[in-house]
Amino acid sequence: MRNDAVVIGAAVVVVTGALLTLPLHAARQSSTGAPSAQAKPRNTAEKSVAIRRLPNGTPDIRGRWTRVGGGLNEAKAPETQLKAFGVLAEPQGFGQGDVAAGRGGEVAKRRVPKYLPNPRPPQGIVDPPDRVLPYTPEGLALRLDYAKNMCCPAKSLAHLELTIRCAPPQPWTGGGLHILQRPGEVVFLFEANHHSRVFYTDGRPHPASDMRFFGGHSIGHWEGNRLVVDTTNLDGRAFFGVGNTFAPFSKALHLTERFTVVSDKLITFEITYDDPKTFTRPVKSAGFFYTADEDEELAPEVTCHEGSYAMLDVFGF
Amino acid sequence: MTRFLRLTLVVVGIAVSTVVTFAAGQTTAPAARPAARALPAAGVNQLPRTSDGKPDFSGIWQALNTAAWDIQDHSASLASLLGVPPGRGVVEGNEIPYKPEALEQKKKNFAKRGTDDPAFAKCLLPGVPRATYMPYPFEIIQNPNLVGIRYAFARAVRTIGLDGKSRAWLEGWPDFWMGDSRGKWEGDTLVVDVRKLDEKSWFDHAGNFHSDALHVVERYSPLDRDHIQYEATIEDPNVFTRPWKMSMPLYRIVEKNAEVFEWDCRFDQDSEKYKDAIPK
Repeated sequence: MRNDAVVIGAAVVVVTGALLTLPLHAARQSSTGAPSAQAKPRNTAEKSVAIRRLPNGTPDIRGRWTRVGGGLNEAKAPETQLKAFGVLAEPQGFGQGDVAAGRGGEVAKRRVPKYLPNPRPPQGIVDPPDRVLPYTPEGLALRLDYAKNMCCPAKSLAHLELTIRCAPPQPWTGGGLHILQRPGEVVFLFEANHHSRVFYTDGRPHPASDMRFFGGHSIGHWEGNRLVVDTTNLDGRAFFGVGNTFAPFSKALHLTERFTVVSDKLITFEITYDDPKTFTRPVKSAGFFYTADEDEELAPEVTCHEGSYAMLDVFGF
Repeated sequence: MTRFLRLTLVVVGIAVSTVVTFAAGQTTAPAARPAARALPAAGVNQLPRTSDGKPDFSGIWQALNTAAWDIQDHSASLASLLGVPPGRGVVEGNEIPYKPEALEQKKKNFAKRGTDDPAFAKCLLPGVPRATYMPYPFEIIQNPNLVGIRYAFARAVRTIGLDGKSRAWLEGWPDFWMGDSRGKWEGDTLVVDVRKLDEKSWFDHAGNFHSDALHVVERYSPLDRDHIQYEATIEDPNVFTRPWKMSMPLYRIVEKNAEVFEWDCRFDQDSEKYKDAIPK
């Protein structure tokens, strides 16, 4: 019974975590479906669309946005026992940041938010095109170890799914956010789990390599209409994966994110995940930001540690 | 309703308490009493302004006082892991007008502060106004209709809407650890009205507390480029007999490449507490 409770708790947390990657205001909204990785955005950077700009000439991307995609929704992902609770190994066509499963394991039915671009820009893994991740032997062994031992019960603290631990959000986390901006700096303030990311674009370097963060350390620079963000100094605890299985990247993970301002209503992005200990070559994932209905506000606060009994349930103390 | 339930999943309930005492960091210099300062003459350390003429508070700031341990005058003590540094308080007149029964609760909190302080002991969100005077930096990023604040402690984040929008849609929502903040300009002073604060945060490590009726009005007044006079008016008829004020200067962090780094000390606490534990 105890295990069942924990399993259900874990499943709820996994699903809740997935839900939280959408803005709360969008909970009543929905999306139909599964955009393909091949879909092209309606607007491309090549077209000369007028873009709002700051006095220093960089695109002005301040405002309310929703971020989707960017995660590694690998094909042929190994299953875990969470499947019994309707949490699928591979969400049906969504990149990370979209709701995969609803109650009872049904694919969540959602209405299309009116500001979503149509057709959708790519979401999820775009390289390799078949979404089969190129594991190193070491990376594959770790992946299978986590698939076997993360549930249920988990083998150790390290094998626990991260949202149940209220972990700090990972750099590729999505959902509703405010973007704030000033010369030399871009800041993302997400709704979920008071996640924030800062990209100084003033030329400063990363700190020393022995200074490590769960979400890494990011610096950025503008290349025309593109914000290029370089993230290193991760502590090796962040997980990749979408659905019911996860595994940690190594500390060697190096992310390059390219955010392309397509218009005042659409930013597309591509993330290069370079982790030579996990993958034999860099892997790329895509996603996009779309503007939100300006009349809708984000929740002032969505906490996790402050309301969680999960660790007590899992460990009994 | 769905929105409400989803929020409830993650907000409602009191977090697991731990007895791990947070290492509160280095002590800071005792606070000076906030004093009225004249604005500098034009051209001298001039206050930056935004394109719409408002003071630009963007940057990294920190209170340099010991209010996080005790907002009233206090001696040094060994009550916490690294001890409590002595310091003058930040409360106007130094007296907090507790109702008699509330004062008893404050004394109980004080006795258990080593394990019950939501911030220093449990690494939970510090609430408002305590987030401002935790002994760590915070960053203000100011845009015309929105001010964002990222606090070093517990990755706390706050947004302050300046667009005058109604907060009526939040009726029926649970309260928030950091509250719901709405701001407006009164001359060069940013006035922030903070409501929907829950009762779980404390004002300091000494157990000064409030109920969920707490209403805080903050005033951020520029003194010059590198100093803000911060004032918080505290109103909570369940706990206090009258409104009261605290005030203190905030100092700009001017070090090159200064930034507010990710710091989730509760996650670190859990990592240590459960590192050898076996899930059931």
